[in-house]
Amino acid sequence: MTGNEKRIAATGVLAGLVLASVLYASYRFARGESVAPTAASTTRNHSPAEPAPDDAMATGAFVQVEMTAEEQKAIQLRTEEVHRRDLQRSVLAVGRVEEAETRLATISARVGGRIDRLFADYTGQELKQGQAIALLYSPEVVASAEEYRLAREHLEKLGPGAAPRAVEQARDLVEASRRRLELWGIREEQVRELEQSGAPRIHITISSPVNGIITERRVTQGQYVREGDVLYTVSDLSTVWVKVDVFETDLPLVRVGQPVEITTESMPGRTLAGRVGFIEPMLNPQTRTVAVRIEVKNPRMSLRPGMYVHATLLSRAEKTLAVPRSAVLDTGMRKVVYVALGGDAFEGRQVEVGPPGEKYYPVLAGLKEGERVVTRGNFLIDSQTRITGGMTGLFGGSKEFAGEPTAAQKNGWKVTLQVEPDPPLGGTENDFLVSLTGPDGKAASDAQVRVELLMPAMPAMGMAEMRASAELRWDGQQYRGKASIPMAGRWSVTVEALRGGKRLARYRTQLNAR
Amino acid sequence: MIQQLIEFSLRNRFLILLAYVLVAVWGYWALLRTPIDAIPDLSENQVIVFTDWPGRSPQEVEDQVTYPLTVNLQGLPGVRTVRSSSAFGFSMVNVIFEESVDIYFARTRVLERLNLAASALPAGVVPTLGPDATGVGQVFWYTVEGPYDPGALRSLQDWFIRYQLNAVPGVAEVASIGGFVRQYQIDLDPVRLRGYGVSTRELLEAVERSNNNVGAKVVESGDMELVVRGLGLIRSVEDIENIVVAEHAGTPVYVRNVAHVQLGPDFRRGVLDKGGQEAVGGVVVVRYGANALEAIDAVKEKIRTIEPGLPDGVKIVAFYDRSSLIRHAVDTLRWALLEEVLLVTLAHIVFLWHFRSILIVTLPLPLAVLIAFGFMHHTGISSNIMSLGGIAIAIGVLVDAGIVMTENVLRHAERYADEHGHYESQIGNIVRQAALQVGRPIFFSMAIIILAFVPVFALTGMEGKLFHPLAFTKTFAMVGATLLAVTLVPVLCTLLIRGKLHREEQNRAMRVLRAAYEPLLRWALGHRLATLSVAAALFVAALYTASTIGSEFMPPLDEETAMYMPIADPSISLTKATELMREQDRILAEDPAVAMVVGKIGRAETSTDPAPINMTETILTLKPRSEWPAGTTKEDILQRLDAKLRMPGVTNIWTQPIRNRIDMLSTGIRTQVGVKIFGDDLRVLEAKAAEIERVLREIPGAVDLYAERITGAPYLEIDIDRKAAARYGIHVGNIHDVIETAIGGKNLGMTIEGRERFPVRVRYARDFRENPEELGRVLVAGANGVQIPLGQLAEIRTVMGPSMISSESGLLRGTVLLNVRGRDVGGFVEEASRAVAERVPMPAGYYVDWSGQYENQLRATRRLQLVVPVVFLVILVLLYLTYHSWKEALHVILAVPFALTGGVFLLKALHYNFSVAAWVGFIALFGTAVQTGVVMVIYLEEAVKRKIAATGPLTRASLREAIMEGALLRLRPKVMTVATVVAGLLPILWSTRTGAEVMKPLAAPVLGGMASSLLHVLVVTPVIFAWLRERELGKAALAEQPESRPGL
Repeated sequence: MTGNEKRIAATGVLAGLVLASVLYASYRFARGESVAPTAASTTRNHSPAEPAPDDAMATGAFVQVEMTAEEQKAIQLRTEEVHRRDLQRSVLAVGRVEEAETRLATISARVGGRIDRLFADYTGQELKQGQAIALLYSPEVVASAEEYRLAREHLEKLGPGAAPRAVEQARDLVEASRRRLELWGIREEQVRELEQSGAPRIHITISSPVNGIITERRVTQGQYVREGDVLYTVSDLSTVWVKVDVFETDLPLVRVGQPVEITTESMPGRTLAGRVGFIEPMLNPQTRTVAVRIEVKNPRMSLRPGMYVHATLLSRAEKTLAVPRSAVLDTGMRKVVYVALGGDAFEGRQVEVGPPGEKYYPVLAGLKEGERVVTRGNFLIDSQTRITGGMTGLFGGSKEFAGEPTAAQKNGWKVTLQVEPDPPLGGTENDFLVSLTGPDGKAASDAQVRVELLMPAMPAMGMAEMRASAELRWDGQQYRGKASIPMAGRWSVTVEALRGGKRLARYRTQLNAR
Repeated sequence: MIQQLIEFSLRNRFLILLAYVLVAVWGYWALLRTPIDAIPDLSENQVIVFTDWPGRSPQEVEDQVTYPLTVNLQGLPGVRTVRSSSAFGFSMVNVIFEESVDIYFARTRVLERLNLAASALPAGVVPTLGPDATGVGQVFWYTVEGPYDPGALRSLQDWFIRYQLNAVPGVAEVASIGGFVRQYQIDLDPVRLRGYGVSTRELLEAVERSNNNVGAKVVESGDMELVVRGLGLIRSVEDIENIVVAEHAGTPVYVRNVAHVQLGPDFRRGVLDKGGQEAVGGVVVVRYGANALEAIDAVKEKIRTIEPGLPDGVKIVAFYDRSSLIRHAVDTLRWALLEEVLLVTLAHIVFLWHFRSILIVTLPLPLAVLIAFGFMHHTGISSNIMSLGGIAIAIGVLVDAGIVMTENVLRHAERYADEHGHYESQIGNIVRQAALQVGRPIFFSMAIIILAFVPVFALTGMEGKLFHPLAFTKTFAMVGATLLAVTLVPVLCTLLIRGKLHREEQNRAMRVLRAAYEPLLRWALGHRLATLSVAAALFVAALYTASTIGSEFMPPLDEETAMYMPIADPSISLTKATELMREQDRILAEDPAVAMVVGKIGRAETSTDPAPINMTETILTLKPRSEWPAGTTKEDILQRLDAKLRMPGVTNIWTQPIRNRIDMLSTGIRTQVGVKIFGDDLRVLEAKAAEIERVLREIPGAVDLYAERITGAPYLEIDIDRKAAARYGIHVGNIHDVIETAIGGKNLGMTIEGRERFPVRVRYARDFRENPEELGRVLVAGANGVQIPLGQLAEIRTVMGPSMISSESGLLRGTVLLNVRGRDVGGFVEEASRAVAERVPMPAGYYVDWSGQYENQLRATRRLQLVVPVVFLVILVLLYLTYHSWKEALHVILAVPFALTGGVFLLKALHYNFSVAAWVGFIALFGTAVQTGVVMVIYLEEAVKRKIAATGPLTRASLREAIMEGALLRLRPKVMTVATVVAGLLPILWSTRTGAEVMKPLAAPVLGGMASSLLHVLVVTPVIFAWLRERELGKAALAEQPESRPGL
């Protein structure tokens, strides 16, 4: 192989390795596991260069935080288990009550004439089926009735001895004139009445063919109407339509047959049930909304056409992994939850969530069922990571927050810090002495021990963050090193002991330099 | 001249006595009238222009308010710089004037310019001048407590208590905090608005037009005139509910049809909490230069006056009252002064054993102090720890002149009595002779002490403000003492020296001292090399010790009240912050050492308080020290509390009220070096700051590097899509109106209900604007009544933005802060600025400026480089005038390093850091050290002269004999001067009272230095003197000493 070929080959191998690791990582992502499972998470603590996904859509852990029980109590930390929940996302909309188009009736004059009496004489009057609503005097009908009477008289006069053909003719005549009356809407009993009374009554009673409410009245008493004139419009309000405008974005949540809750201003506290009956096929380009028709039973007539009502379109409850809204911190670029890892450890994790319901966000990625998320106190944990780093790059800072020496004590490591002089002096060098005992109770001499001092910035006061640090060396008994404390005041001190890049112990405390 | 003064005084004794009686009266009068405060006001000479623009983001405030104001306010006469910050809802422009500019002159100039600048501001935005006070003037905080809801208490505070207290003389402002400002809230229901076909604008107009009373002149009825009023002011929720907005199909549409009206709390940026409970309170801010103590007392008196007028059960309870601190601090120094006077008197009794002559020394002491007060009054210096401290550290030196004078008179009298058997009849002559003999050296040595203190006046910045009063009062007192020494003291001598005199040899204390001193001096004269090496070794050791002493700016004054200041992330909500504070206050209140806890989040409504809501200031009143378990210190208690209060996400800061105010007020850069980047785009500034930080990191000496993060606060941006808006025929302005009114709420004016006024606010009901998702549904009315949801007209997104924008001289400012260690700052800045200029290219319109504390240091150093040599030279010249010999003068100056030795050791022994106070102590020490040296050398010379006169030309042995004699014979005045200086400072050092901690580091170097310089003067000076003279003897013939020493 020439040098060039060698280079190409090496590059190829390297690229292959990178690709393989990327694939593996994405495979684990896809399985919904966090890239840093709990067991491996300690390693993450001292490899700050590794995570911090910049991609806004990425999910996964980016910081780990340890907190003592006292600290947890102080911030009233609460956690909640993530499970699948019935997430009902409802669409809220404003609707207008309308008459059901399918239940409109028109009462019209079947014969011309004069309205002599009007029984239903105002709009809004309720009508029952068959209820008399007007008396019509129609000369035409009177003539026909007369004709019918004459035809009947004629028929009766014919008597039994009449020629069958004449009888037949007279009967036909009776029948025809009766038919005509019936076609005009004169009911049988009226006809019968006519038959019995002999003398033709000059009025026809107009009665309602349906139950409903007069929504329009076009006649007044004494008015002449012509055949076919509309006298009333009647609407049956036992079922009404509620038309709501649904915004484009909510459309996926609306189906025909979906249950709807209707509330009105007039009946606070009462809800009526309805169903989506129809979704209009067209979108109103003016308002960017789609009209949806809801059918509501209205037995008590509490919904009146024209009323504005609030409609809640209830979507079908779906079982989805849900996280309380209070658990999700939205930093604008990412959504972050803090997951309790058990013990005192918490992990900041970036998650992907769907549109929020009333109390919960559906989780799309980043969390598993059964994990516990922090629902109270998470803002403070998050800002703690910002104070000392954690979210590298996003908020500045470069060091993550560690709790009290819990982590250290857990593995049996014990750290003690001593400063000479005690109290330390600001503005000069001080000696830092650290002794480190392992789980076996013996002092460890082969660790790298580092002391970091931090005075957080006080932006409100124009004070910069101040840092100082020292690498301590083993002097035969303990670790010793000099660090200069820039100024008098309260310093937060972190002692960290590493061995071979692995953290043995960490101790955080405060010093008051004079 | 001095002789003439002395002679004149002796001739006109009555006149002198009368004059000093008048001076005493004048001083006492001034003492009563001098304003009293705890510490000098350290704030810069500034005028704050404060502009409220409620609800606007820092960016809007910066662009539309701060910037136009800043550019207009530049270029006023005497303006040093204009710094500004734009925060959420308000803009604060600090116009910083030169120190020499009168504050009221400055305020008038700013006001003039504001008239012009106001036209460049958005409509309705009115810039106001901050009160003629500073944050340090917040001297009295109180809560208003009673069985009423916070809204009612707040209106009581706002409309009754506040204005009553504001009327107290000396009070510049009374600001309210906490509770709720009541407000008539019209919560719109957009659904109903749409239903009734009413637009928001119609409603706004209707409400605006329905809140007024009108007048219509008069109507005559009979012979009477009736004044006509048209009533229509809103007085209740019902009044608003019944306002007709429009007519809808013949029926009137009332406000109540489309909105819910209630009396609710206004949006707030400040919360007050007492022991975990919502509280209402106020801050009393005293006027600049006013007598804080008097003002507080008057406020308390006023509270007693108005308290009966408060509703049943309502009390005004103070939770921060600076008067006790002021009283304690001033008491501390009064006590110290008293103890000093007693001790000094005691020292005289021990050493002189002549009771009447003690009066000669102690009478001028209060007189000198009164003279200092007289001067203080006329130069406008207030009585505070620093100015009184100036007098306190001078006490020991004040009597020096008197001592030397009296001692000399006594000696002369003794000699006269020895020769003639009596002296009383001749006392006038004796005094004249004795006074004339020491008058000149006394005058010169006092002048040296005064001059040596001049470098303190060269301090600038905060140090200057802190120590100038001290330097002034010390100088005043010294000038007074000098005058007294050459006028009143001789007069008093003639009147008071009589009766039996006690010789130095008869004095027991002196006998003991002499018995110890003689062998020591003899040994030293015999082992000159050893003596000198020991002295040199001590000096070198002191130099080494100095390098191990830490440094700090100022030892903090224990203000008796502690302040707990937790700082949370800038994005914290007020609700969360309040919740946190409740919890913290609860924890604090549980502690047995805590008497009262009152916490404040955000700002009180005063421009002297710029605190953001992520900053909580909790004032902790601890139980009296006597109730603490034995051995507990305040530090222990705070440490314990801190441990309990450790919360993630919260940075605990423990400070004290005054100190915190001073810190908040100094808007400049407080690290050694600050790189300011000026430009007009925050993002570019932030990027450049990061670049500069990287470059600086590589330059040796740079530590504590920090590029200020500009962003950090979440913004919800509603970015209007103009095309979409155009498609629906909606003006951007309409969308803005909706954003402003619907989401933010809009105030439609005030109701007038007697003395009280409450805003009327219109806003969408909470449900329609509560979360980002909901905001997208807020409807905007377009042409022909279409209602379009906001989400379709604009992109709504969360982004990170600035939480506060700083600008300077009209340009936005980004900063990189750093300290320099291990090399000199000037050199560092030179190298760093070159590197930055080369490696960080600046876009057009951007530039870098280097500033920071080092500027002050440089300026101070430059001044000191000029002032110190001049002072040295002047002292040398004065010494030359005293001795007429450069050699002697230089010799006396040698006292300085040896004085330093003791000062350093004592500082180290007491664990004090080098602070400005310690430096000022050293400066004070130098003068005193030189002065004691002067006295010694004078006596040695005198002895040598006498020896020559007695035994003729000197031999080595006779010289040594003369030195022994001179040193021994005149042991008394030397020990006395040192003893009085020590006696004058000891009370400060052993005091544990309030304020003593500030004076201690100042007293320590003087005290230690006096001890070592006593040794130096007693042992080393004679040795050097002997050595010098012996060289002369070796060189010249031992025949004659032609010089005569005038002045002695």
